[in-house]
Amino acid sequence: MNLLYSGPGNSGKTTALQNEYLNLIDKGVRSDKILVLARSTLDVSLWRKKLKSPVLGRLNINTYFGFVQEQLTTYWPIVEERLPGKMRSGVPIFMTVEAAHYLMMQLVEEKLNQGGFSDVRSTTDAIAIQLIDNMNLAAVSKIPLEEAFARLRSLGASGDAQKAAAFQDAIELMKKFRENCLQSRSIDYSLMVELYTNILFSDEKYKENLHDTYHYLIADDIDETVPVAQDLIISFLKKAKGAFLAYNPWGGHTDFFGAYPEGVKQNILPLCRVKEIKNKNFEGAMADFAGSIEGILRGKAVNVKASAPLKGQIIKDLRGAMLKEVADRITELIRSGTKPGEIAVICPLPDKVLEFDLGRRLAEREIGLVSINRTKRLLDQPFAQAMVTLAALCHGQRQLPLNYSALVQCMGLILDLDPIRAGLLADRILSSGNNLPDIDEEGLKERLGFRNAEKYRELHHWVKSRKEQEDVDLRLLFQQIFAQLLAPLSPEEEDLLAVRQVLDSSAKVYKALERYNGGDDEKNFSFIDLVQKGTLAADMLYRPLVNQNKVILTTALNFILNPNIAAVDYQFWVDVGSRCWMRSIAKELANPWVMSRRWRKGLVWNDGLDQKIRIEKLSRLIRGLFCKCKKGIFIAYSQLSSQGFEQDGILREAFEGLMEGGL
Amino acid sequence: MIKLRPDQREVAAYRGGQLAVPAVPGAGKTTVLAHLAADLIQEGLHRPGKILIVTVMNSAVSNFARRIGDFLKERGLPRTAGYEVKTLHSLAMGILKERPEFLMINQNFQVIDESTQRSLIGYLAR
Repeated sequence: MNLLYSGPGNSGKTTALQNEYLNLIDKGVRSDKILVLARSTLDVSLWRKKLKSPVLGRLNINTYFGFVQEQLTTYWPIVEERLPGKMRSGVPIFMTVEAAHYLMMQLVEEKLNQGGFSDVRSTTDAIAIQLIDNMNLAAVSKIPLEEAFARLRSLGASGDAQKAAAFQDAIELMKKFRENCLQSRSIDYSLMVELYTNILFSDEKYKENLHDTYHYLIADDIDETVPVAQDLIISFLKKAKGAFLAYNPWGGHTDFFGAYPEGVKQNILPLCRVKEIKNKNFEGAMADFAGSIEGILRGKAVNVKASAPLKGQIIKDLRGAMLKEVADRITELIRSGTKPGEIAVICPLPDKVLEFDLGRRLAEREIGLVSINRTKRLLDQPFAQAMVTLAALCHGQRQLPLNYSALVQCMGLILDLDPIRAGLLADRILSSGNNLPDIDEEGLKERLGFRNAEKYRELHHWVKSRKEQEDVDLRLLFQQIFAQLLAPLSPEEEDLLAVRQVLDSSAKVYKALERYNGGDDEKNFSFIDLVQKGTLAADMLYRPLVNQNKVILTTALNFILNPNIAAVDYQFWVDVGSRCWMRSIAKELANPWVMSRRWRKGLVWNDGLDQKIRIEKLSRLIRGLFCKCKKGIFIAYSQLSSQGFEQDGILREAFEGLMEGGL
Repeated sequence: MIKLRPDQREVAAYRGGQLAVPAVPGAGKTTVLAHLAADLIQEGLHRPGKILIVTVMNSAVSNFARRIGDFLKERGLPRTAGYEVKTLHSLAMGILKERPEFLMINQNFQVIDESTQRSLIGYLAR
């Protein structure tokens, strides 16, 4: 029996699936016979939390990619038999995205030094991310690499010879990266998916065993699934005793990661009994209003039935005036009984300036603001920064580049110095070739202050002893730094999260680089290089607690997709004039639309197609936001963004059109 | 409501094609073009798009925008709807930001100011 729950966001589909799970358990089905696929690791955690106590026995709850990795690990000998070359050790190493990114960056740097990518005006890490993305997108859409390369060449052919050459450079590096990964059995994300899809999943015996192991499938948010995950789901629909799925017809927000909701409509819906679920918030005036905005965006004449959901418009020339009024309106709502946690400020992209400015204004009114954006830079976190900086100071063989501000912050934290003294010390360290000067050096004791001199002496001795060691293991060094230097400073929860992130990331990166580079000593401190170069490892997946009864600040996409964020009474859509509400998915060397099953030979990527896709995505975003809104929205606009760019995007015009009564 | 001179009325009545208006400073070019823009917006002739006004200087942008806004307000219309006033540089920036990837430029590009430009050149010259 295949049952699909279909409904907009926040309509209760996940709850319905969880009830189906519990029904199966009540009917005597063992939990280890049920496979649950959730969209993200956050969703997996929530599923586990919900099912942990009522269900005894093993919970098989994973993301599709987590499941694939598990399967590859279990069945590796079968996969290994079909791979070229011989493997050095018995198990593969699965690369984290940070390690893959770093290794690709090294290839890109080498190519840049040889004069490659001559016409590409982008950073090394942006190019590296795009090359990795191309490979990932091809893998999840089951596009063979050679076909992927052909599509990229066709994108390059749309420009001049330099553009074609840049795409050729990209293809060369992707080939090299793949060869190196295969040879060393360091499995990045794209190779992991390809190996599973082409070797394991194509093996009938494996599939037989899969369906013997799991009798039931429960898959949530299938509108966000990639084609290869849909193939797995279809296999269960055809062979399992039962499958329960959740689908949002207006979802599919993560197309930049390969989500293919069209595949669900074409291939999965026909195999299921469909049960519609409604979202009580998203009915009547709310749905009509969202529909009107969508209509205007698509250039249709609309009959605006009601604008009741639009509770206010804050239109100002100056940004400060806009933010002041946003803060005033929030204050009014709270004073009239709305809880802070029932108000969300939605922005198109993460904006630290907005976060700081609005946070300060609300703090003056004794209202808390919590920013729930997906990433926060590791190096902005003082404890993480201190770990990386101290580790760089301890490297005896090579002088790693040190950032002055990082050094000031680190010395200030460890030695409890004021910024002036910390700055003076940082100057001395940098001018001594990244060595901590001796405390007895002229004038240093007086500069630091006698109270701090003893603490400094101990730090100096600590760093010196590590510098003198050969073969310092970075992972051990990080642990020592934390245990001996940072733990005594009474770290808070965020500090501990950051420290753990550094320890986990460095361990994973070390393993991956060790396998990929094979015994190269540089891998030891490559993690520091990786962080300082601002790669993905420099981002920290920091997830602040949502239920703090503070006003939420987040991006539109995170608000919709984050399962920890519930529907709120009021939303403030800030910077409605920003073009970032409707950004193109195309990048200089990557295009998720071209690298998907939507692409047909002979199609040309052009403005018309680009605009159509942008409007479609914005429409889905608007619907998704309204689905999590109980009472209404406010829009806010200023002439210039935080970065000083003019804000002349289409969303603001759509609201203007709405206020004029449609077209 | 402003009273236009006969030669200005001729410009304000223009509805199609290309029109060049040579005039000395102070003749009222900005006023009449702002008036024309407001009329076009009132008549809905700009739809489904907007009217683009391009000037050379930032000060002219504010001036134009203010005048069109005033004319629109007189007509009971929103001050800022239906048009955009930009300098040539701003227009170029807007076009570039629309599809930077076409020129293989990263979407997070920044425009550097003169002092950054000078310091980069100085660094390269070393």
